[in-house]
Amino acid sequence: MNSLLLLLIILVILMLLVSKKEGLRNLFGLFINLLLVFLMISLMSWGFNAIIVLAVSAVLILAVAIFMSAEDNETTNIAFKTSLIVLASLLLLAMLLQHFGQFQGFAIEDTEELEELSLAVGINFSNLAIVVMVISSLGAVAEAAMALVASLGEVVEQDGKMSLADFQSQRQTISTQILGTAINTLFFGLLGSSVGLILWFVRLNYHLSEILNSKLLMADLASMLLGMLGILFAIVLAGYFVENEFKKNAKV
Amino acid sequence: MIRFWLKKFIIPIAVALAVFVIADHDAWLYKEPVAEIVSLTSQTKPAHTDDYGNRDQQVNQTLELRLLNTPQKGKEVSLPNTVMKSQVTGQIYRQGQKILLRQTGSGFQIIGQKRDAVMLALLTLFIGLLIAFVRFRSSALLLLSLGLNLLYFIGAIALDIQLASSLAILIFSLLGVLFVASSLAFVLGLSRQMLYSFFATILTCLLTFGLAAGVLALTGNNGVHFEYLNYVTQNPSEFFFVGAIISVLGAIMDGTGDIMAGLFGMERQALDFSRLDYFKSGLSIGQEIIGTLTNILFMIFMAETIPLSVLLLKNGNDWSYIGTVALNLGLLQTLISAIGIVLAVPVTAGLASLLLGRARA
Repeated sequence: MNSLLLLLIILVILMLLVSKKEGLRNLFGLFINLLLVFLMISLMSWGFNAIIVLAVSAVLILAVAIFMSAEDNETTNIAFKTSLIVLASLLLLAMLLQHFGQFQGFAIEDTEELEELSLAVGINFSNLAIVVMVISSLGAVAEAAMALVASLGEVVEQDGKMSLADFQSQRQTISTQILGTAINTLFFGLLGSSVGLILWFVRLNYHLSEILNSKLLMADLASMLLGMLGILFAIVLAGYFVENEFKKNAKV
Repeated sequence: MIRFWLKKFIIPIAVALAVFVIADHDAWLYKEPVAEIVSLTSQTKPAHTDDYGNRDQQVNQTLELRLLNTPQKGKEVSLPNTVMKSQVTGQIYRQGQKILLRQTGSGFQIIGQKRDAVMLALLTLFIGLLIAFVRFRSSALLLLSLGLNLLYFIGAIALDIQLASSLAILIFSLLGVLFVASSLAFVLGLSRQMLYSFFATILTCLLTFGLAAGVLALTGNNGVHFEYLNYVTQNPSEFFFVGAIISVLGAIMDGTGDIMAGLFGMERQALDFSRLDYFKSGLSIGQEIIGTLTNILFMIFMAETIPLSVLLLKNGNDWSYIGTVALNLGLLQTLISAIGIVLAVPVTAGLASLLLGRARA
């Protein structure tokens, strides 16, 4: 039997056991996002402007990721609103980064992979670099916003008589903790995915200056830092929105 | 209001810009030759069509460079640069950019663009905004924790090189344990919450990789193509697991950390909770984040494969071939991570309910 298929079956069973109906919805959401990404890649390879395709698909992917993963309307609305604002700022930042950093395409380390391929494909790979940076931070942004709104919501729900001061101190504590763990996730993600490349650099005696200016490693690093900035914006904005909501409810 | 914007945005951005300017002029720090593109001429050849009907144009550039360091500082050289307009490899240079060179005999060869200024500016921007928006103590601890993790990582790399990778899995698993302990201790302090999160993370990791290794052994790696792993300098399947352990660990720690944060928040509210209440609340928080956490990993993995997928599509390949060459290992890692994230929910909720419930009684 195919290993990937068996792992997928195990994942589906576990998801259904742990989160039942929601698990099913999560899987459905992932499946839709998989299709969206395939569609996005196809549209780009057909020559549509990658940045426009990116903007549209990013909004759709965020919508699916957020609305398919939780039922509570208030949580998902705040998370979605937050993510959209953050997405817009990340897109601008990514374009700026690409202008100065020029992270496009493949490098000399990829030579083996590119053997026998035509490289004159007429697609703007500079735009694709922006797509990679934005798409890879998308998940982290949605996750940070969701986690903050959900945790804060849970705490508020459990204690109906909470004061604003209590709320603010909870907001600060939970924000810091989610920020810490989410940033660590991205950091470990980068280390895990670049451990091979780094060993390659060291084994082949690259100069430090070549490593620190390497297109591949610096592109990964840029994606990671962009994701971290996204998490930071998301936590601050989502916390601000939840606090407004809390004040409104407290007045009623 | 102005003070708010000044403190939160304008100062961090100004500092980042200053760092950019300073780092842009750091050629004297380099031992290898660095040059600035003083002027250039570009010539675009007529469109050319490849075997798959793709139309692209070749750009021939002549770069007039001035060396910025080494004893030959100030010397002017002229170098050619040939690149396709799509920039699948190489890049189209602009005037004013700085590039790294390698001396070859009497001439020079282009290594690539100097990217340190933009990267340092981005790093500074992140640190500045972090300090502006998060309490100074917390952000300083977080940055210190990342710095330390980077040091452990460099240590592990050095050890792995020393031992010629004979114990790669062991070294990087230990590195993982160190990562979790150190990161959690910095975010949460040496508290009960840290200890519980640590145990939940390690337990989930062991279960996840036990399960994954079991499945791979049972199916004899059927359908898994370790041979397509990039930048391999040692046994690819072993190497896949080294990367996977480090990446998956972060995601599991994230899930565990979020659930524990929520549950300890409830404990701080001094609500009268039974074990079952804690377990249910844990599951409820967990259910909300399973979807988005799997989405994070899924997005990172898909994003990385976009350029290669586009290139392969334009080379007349279909999705099933791309699935084998470009998506296979990423998919395997995403599946393992997702299983880890889902397992983290009952493990964390269960552990928390046992320990928090007893502490209360």
